[in-house]
Amino acid sequence: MKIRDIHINEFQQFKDLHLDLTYPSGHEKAGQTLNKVCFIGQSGTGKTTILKIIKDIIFSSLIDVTSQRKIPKKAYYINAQYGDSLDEMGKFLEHSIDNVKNYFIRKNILPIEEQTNVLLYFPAEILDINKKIENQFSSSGFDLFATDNEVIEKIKIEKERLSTKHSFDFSSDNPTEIWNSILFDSREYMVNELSFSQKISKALVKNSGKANELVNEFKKWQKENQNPFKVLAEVLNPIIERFNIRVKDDFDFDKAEDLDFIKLETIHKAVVPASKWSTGTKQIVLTAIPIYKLDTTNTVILIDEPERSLYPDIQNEIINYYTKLAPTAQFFFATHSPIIASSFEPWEIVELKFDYKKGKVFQEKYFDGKRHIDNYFINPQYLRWDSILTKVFDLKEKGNEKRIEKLMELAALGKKIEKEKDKSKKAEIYKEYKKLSELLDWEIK
Amino acid sequence: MKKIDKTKILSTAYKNWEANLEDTNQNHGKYDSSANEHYIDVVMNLLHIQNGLCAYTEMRLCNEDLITEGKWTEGKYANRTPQFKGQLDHFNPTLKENKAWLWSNFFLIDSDINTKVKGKKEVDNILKPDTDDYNDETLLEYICDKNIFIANTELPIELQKRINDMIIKLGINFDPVVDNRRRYIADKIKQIEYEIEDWNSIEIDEFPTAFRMCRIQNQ
Repeated sequence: MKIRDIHINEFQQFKDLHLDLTYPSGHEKAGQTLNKVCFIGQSGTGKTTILKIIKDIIFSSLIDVTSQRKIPKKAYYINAQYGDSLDEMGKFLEHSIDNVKNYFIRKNILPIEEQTNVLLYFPAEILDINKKIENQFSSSGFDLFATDNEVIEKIKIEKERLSTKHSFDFSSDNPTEIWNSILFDSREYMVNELSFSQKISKALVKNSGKANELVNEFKKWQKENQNPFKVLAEVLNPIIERFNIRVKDDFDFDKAEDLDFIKLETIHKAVVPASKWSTGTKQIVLTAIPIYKLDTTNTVILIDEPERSLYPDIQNEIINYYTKLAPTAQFFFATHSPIIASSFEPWEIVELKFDYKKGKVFQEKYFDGKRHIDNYFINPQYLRWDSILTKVFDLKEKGNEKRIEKLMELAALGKKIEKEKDKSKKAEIYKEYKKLSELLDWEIK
Repeated sequence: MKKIDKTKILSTAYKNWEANLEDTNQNHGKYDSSANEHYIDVVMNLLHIQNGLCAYTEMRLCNEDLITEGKWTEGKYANRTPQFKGQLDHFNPTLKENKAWLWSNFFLIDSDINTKVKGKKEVDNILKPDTDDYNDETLLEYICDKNIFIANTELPIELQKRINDMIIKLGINFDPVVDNRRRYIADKIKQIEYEIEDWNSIEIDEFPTAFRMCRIQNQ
């Protein structure tokens, strides 16, 4: 499913807001749904609210009310596209039908079971769930000492149960359940490897011939089954190696905790417990793994504040990184970061602003006249960071107010050099001029 | 920042009212711009004498056709809802309490300068553009490569400090102003370099002081 547009008739700070989420005319994908969207705007303009509206509409139990006698005014709705068919999904204004709240409409319903994952939602507070994982995850892992049959049975039941889950809300879903689902194959792999290891140990004590047979069987199994942690390492390491850590892809079965969650180690192979992960590490691990591991074919992925705890160099790459992990998904981001915003084409940015006179929020237009690529006058991808701050984020100043004072001082020094007759004195003042230019990052021309 | 001649009064209805308050030494009352019948007249009279520009930064605040004398009838500006950018500034903010409608304390300025830069900061009359002593040529220098104004470097250091302090307070070197000025003047000079226009024929409708000083340095 992909979202074509969002209409908010009346909800919180919004009134009559219509967001067109398709590529503009003149674009090679003109008329198609945008692959990624970035909401920017001052705090309180409703960036997160819109992400929640999308989540709300898609997550809620949808009721077909097309047979209702009178269609009441909707609070908000979206047009979603499934292949060629269009589906209007929305929420009525509260109290509009017999005081029924949260009454949803949905037309052209595609049975939810027939879809892949519909939606992933990562709140800005994604880091908070790390604590829950630390507290809960170990208690629900597979039993290290269970018999093979028990383990296989448990895996089978779990697989069936998870196949019915199509949406993942990291703000409210049970993190244990969600991560069991995400890391299912990894855990299954570990259980199988452990099982081989136990069988080989037992056989070695009793019968070396049987042990050799098992070792060969184990090698064959290893060839046929790729270690999922090695795959995860390939996904995560390019980013987290810059934090001096990487994914641990070999196991130490002396510790039951090895079955719990992914393990990270320093580049010198010292394990870093989850409680000691930096906030940037958590942000990457807790978002990138689900995006990579879950089936995201035509999935709507919502990420609030993707820049959280990330240094500018990583912010500069993170959008590209996420979109490559889920190439057919439709991403929605909400950000305050100019570096994040620079990863988007102008039609992919929705800037929300307050209209103080009308008391509502509106979308700032980046084009004149018709919505055509040639009519756009802002393109964050072409701008320097400081220009993005002033042109896109409406920051008036280019630096701290002290800067202009010092720039005036520099100008006065320049005048002083011009007027000075004595060569050595000139050189002395120029030294001062040069030093101040460096501090101001002022290019001497 | 050009010298501003406040003697040209078009808003005679307001000016008589203000003069009466002053002559009889009355308190002007609480300042409420929208509630005062003279507000538009004060604004449009100021725009007339400021050539439609911000008094301090010289950025354009309204179209020139709005500030002709023909728009006035019997001391009142005819259109009560004219389109302009900018806000009324009380140059000395301490006078706002009791002398809120004092003509000599008013300038029309860019809204951002008023709200984000000048605010209620203490002022020095050395850069009050309507005073007899004010003369941009003796007080200011324009540094073309940096697009900023500084105090005339020939003046005593102490005086330069006072002037530079006021340049900052009046927003003359506020980043968005510097940017606009840089773009505007670069465009004009480029047209002259390409001989599309010359120094005498080119039309200057913003930043006249900076342009004039650039011209002197370029010729």
